Amino acid sequence: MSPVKIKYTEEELVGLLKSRSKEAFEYLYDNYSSALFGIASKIVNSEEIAEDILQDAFVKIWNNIQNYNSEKGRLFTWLLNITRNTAIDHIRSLRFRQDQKNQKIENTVGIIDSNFNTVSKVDHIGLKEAVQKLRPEYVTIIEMSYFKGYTQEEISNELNIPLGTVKTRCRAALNELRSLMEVR
Amino acid sequence: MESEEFKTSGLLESYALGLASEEEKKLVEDMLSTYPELREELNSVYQSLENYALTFSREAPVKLKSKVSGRINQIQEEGAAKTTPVIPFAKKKTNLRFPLAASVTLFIMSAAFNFLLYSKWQKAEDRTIALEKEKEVIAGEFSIQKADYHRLSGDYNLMIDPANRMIVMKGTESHLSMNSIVFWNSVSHEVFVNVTSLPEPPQGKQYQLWALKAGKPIDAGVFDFKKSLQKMKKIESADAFAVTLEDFGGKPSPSLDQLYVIANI
Repeated sequence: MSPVKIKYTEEELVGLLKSRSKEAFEYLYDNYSSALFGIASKIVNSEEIAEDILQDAFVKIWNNIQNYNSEKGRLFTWLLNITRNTAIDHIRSLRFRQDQKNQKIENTVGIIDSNFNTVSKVDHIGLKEAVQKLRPEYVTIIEMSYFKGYTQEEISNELNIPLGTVKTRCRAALNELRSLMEVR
Repeated sequence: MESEEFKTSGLLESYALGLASEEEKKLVEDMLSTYPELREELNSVYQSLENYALTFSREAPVKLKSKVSGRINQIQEEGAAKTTPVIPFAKKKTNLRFPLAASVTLFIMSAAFNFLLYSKWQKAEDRTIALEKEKEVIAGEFSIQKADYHRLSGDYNLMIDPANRMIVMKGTESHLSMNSIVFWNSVSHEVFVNVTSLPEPPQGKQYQLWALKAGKPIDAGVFDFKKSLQKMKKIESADAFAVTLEDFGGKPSPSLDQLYVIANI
C-alpha cells in the first residue's frame, strides 16, 4: 500500500500541531528540517552541534506552538526564528566569537559551500545564483546580524564603521537582496 | 513620522535583522500598528531574508528524525503521566516474558474479580427488566473472560514449567511486525504454538509450523490462526522453528518464500 501524499495548508498544519497530532509533527519535520538544519549549520559551523540545535529547536517548536498564531507572521518565519535564536544563543554562550573573529567573516560563506554539500531544492538553485551577486560587504553585514546575532555596536566595532553606517548599510543590503530575489 | 519616511529610515531592516535597540523596537512596533502598509513592507523584508536563509538548506542526518520523535514522545508521555498513569511499551527489546507474565497476572486478577461479579449477578436475578438486560451483558462478558482465563492459565502453566523453553519466532524481512511463540518441552518433547501476531491467512491457506534440524525441515503440524494456544507434533531435536503459510492442510515440505516468522535456537 503506497502512502498517500498529504499536503497541508499552513492553517491546517498549525491547527493539527496544536491538537498534538503526531502525523502533523512528522509532516513539519519532513518539510522543514532541511531548511532549519541548514540555518543551524551555517550559524554554528559544526554538523554535530547543528544536530543538537535542530533537536532543541523542534522541541521548542512543539512546546510553544500554542503561542503561535498567524498574526505573528508566517509559520516559517516563526520556525526559522526559533532555530536561529537557539543557534545564536549557543554560539554566544560558548564565546565562540573569539575564534570566529579570527576567521575572515566575508569568506565564511565560501568555506561552507565548499565543505558542506548543500542539498538545494530545485527552486533554490536560481536563488543561490542570484544571491551570489550580493556585494561582499552586504553579505558580511547580513551574516553578522542575522546569522551570528551581533549587535549594532559589535558590528560597528568589528568593521570599524560608525553606527550610522551600520544602519544605512543594513537597509542597502536588504534592498539589494530583495531586488536580486525579484529579478529572478 | 510618516510611513514613507519611515520606510527609508532603515529601522524596519534593522528590526528584521535583529539589530534594533529596545527603543527602536518599540518605535517600529508602534509604527506597525499605526500604519498597516508597513507590515507588508516588513513581511517583504522577512521574505527576502528567509529566501536567502533557504539557500543554505541542508538535509538533516536520517537518524535525527527518530531522535527528535523520541523526545517529542517522551514529552507527551510525561504529560500524560501527570493525568493518568501510562505503562510505556518496550519497543525494541524482545524479552516478552515480563509483559506476558504481567498480563497473565492481571488476567488472573480480573478473572477472580469476574467470579465475584458472577455471584452478585445471581443475587440480582429478581430485579426489573432493565436489570435483566444488564445481567445478560455481564454474563456475556464473563464467559469471554472465563475462556480467556482458561487459555491464559494454559499459557501460564506452560511458562512456569521449567522444562518448557519459550522460543519467540520473529518476523522475516517482509513480515517485520509479526511474531509467534513456541513452547518446547525438553523432557516430553511436546510442542505448543501460541499465535501472538500473525495476520489472518487468506481463504484456503493455513499456517504450518516447522522445526529445522541441520538445515532439514520437519513438519510440526498446521495450526488455527484463531486459537491462541495449540498443541503440535512432538519434536525431538531442532536448531530452529519457523512458520510458513501453506495451502489448507499443509504440505510435506515448506514453501520457503512464504516464511513468516523464524527463531534460531
